[in-house]
Amino acid sequence: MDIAKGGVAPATRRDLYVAFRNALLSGSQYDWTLPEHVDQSAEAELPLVTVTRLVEDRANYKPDARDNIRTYLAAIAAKSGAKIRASTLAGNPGRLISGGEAAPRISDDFIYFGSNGGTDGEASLAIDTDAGGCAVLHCLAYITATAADHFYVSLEDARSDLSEAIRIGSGGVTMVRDFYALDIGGRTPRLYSLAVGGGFFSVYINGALVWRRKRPDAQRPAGLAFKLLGRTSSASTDGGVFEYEFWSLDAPFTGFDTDEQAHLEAWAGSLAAKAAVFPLYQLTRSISDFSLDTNEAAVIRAMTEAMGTIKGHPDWMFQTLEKALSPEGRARWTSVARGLTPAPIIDVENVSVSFSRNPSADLSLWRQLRRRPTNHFPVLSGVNFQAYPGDVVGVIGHNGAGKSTLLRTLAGLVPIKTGKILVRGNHMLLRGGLGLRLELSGRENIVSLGIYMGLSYRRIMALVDEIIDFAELADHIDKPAKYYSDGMLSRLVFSTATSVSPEILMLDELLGAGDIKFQDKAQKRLREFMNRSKLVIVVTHSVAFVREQCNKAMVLSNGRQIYFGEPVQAVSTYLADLHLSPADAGKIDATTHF
Amino acid sequence: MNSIDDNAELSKWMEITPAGRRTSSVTHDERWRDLHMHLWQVAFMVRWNLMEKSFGRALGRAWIILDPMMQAALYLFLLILIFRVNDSDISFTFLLVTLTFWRLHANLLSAAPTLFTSKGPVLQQSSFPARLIVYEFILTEVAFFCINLVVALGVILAFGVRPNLLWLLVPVIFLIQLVFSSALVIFVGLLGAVVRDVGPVLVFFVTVWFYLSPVIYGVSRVPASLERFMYLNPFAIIMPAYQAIFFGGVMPSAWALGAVFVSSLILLVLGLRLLSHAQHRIYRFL
Repeated sequence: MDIAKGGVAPATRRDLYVAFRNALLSGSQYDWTLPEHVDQSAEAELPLVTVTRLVEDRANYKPDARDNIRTYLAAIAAKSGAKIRASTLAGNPGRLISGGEAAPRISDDFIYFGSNGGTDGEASLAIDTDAGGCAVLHCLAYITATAADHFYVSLEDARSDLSEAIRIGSGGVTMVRDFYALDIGGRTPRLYSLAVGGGFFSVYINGALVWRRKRPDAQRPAGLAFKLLGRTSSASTDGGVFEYEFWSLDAPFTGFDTDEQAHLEAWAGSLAAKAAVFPLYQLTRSISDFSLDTNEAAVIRAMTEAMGTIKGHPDWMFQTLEKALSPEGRARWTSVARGLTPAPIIDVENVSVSFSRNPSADLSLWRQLRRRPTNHFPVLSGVNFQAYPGDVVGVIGHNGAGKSTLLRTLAGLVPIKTGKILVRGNHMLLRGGLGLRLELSGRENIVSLGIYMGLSYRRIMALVDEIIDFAELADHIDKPAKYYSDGMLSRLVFSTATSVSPEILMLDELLGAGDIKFQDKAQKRLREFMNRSKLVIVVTHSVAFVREQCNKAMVLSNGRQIYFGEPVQAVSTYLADLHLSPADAGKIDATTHF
Repeated sequence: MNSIDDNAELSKWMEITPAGRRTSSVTHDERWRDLHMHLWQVAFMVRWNLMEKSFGRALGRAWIILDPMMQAALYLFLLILIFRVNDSDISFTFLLVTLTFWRLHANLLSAAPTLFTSKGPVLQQSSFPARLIVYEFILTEVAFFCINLVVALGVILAFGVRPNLLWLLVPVIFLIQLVFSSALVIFVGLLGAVVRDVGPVLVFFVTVWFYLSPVIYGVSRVPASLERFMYLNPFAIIMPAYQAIFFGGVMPSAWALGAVFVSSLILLVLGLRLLSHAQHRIYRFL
């Protein structure tokens, strides 16, 4: 079967999938794998190979390949009772409105966005649709960006807070309103299908259901939009859309698969049999109301096995899986887990902290005489989490989000307004610049830092030589620190701070010390350091660190804990919080028409 | 949330609530170890403070001794050559001694309002005990005072004052003065961290206190009608005690000094307790 040349109908969907996969892997530079939790066999029978060819050579995107996609989608539309409102495949692209500082280039079959050079690109397509039904948007899209996550595909609702969008980035595909990221690169062209209506929002990739969430019945999408948002003058944030098709349905869209539920349950069973707990968690997390009832015994076995083998205690994973069990299954799991769950080392319950905007001014005579209330603002509010032995917890958030205050609060340095914190074990908070005395020599500063870290004289003296050696400051160590460069100072601080390993280690922005060569060395040291500590909590802006090193992560935004749990999702939540609010992502800017 | 008692195996714990911070009890051995560690920590920090004084100067550490010598020379010039002070009860040596002791008190008090704010980064970023910062500050000033005193003693000996056995009591009186000054440093330091106006007010207050204390005059010059008010000022007891020992060769009133000592000690204990409670609270003011 030569799928690459244009679409011969396969005997079964499994045959088709295997054929596609083989054809693609033989010559493609792309990674076509979907996340493990997605039912791989459910990938639809689409002639995607032609899309791959298109990226490599536009001329290969032949009309017959296009026909294949059109025929396939037409069959699903007919089965679902959908009306095709707009379709590039059918030569009816709808009324395009677009604008921005750099309008996308639109050819007959291709919309290209590019912001390389510091401009935004945005294209929107307005479609009239009848009220009362559901809407489905299919699009063949990709992003070539290497540095950004700004390419949005959205179903627009007149009420912007009901719009739905996915963000396609080089590192993952994110459900914008839910702050949920799929670990799947957007650089591979794929068929993304967004279905809204009937009380659900669903996302399909290549025909496989990857996300379903309950939504208000009031959602009535009336248009679609592709947007490339954000600016960068140094990195490419290009994206492209090859085809799109917009449907309206009177009844909810039931998917590409006629027996989707059975398919998902079988897939969950196979994951449980392999004790693949994390994909099982992702599957449960992705599909709302998905129950593990039918595979309960295998799932509990897999969870029990994971409890003893996984480093740390990813409570977010076990809690999600537990919720998907039946009441009886939950009771069984509770009795099993009771003996296996470790005691938390840090237990934070509904903690809030507030600061005065100007503490000294609160006590001013004028304010007291006028009986004005003190001007407090919340620095942290509603923080709840537990951390266990072996955990590496990343704390991320924009500047001023409250990350450092959280660490200081956990270290007992900041009074709390509400809640309770329990810290079990010796803890140490490390951050740059603590106690440096520039008039003193590097060697004396090592001792000074050691003093502030609470180390004994004998301990510091035993560490001095090793610290000097690691900081590569042997030739300068007896010079006053005043004459050190910033890099030398940060090396000195980092080396001293990481020379000991307490039971609970809190690191505040200590990951960027020194030059690239030193940073490599520092990363290695930090890993060893983390292995020695029972619990590590790291405040950082490095999303790579959170993804790769942490087993749980917290996102703070304006002092609020907006997420705690899976690191990949935490990063996605952080990026969404950093770049764009979900409402903004789905909103058509009325000023950008052409 | 699990309670503390659920996990007896984790011996060290800290519980933070809006009411404050509570930690696991410390054993006798740990207390002894901490004391030992704190002693050397303070010793190191005092040493560095002395070293910082001479950093970047051509004469280096010689400044530690040059500074009080220049001060003594200045007093000599002002008091003998300009003001021609040589009364029966007030002399250059008298003033040099009393001013040396007063300067310690004045220096401690004047710098106290910024004591905690100047160490803000340390207090905000580490669990370093605030009381060690107080000890470091006081002992640094005491170290400078000792050098000043050695110079002053050298000068008064050169000016013909003869030592006697009562001089051995000077450390006792100095200890009383230090306890009193230390208690004030803690209260003023905490108040200064919260109310920034304390600094400038204190400059004025210390100046007034100086003139109300028998530093540059003898107690005999105070009118009898004001004497009972004057003795509300501890320095009206402490300074005459120095004068009596150094220049009168008579024993100062032990009862009066004892009363100052006891009340100062109570103040100091209260101050340290307040400091221990407030360390967690002054964070937002630093």
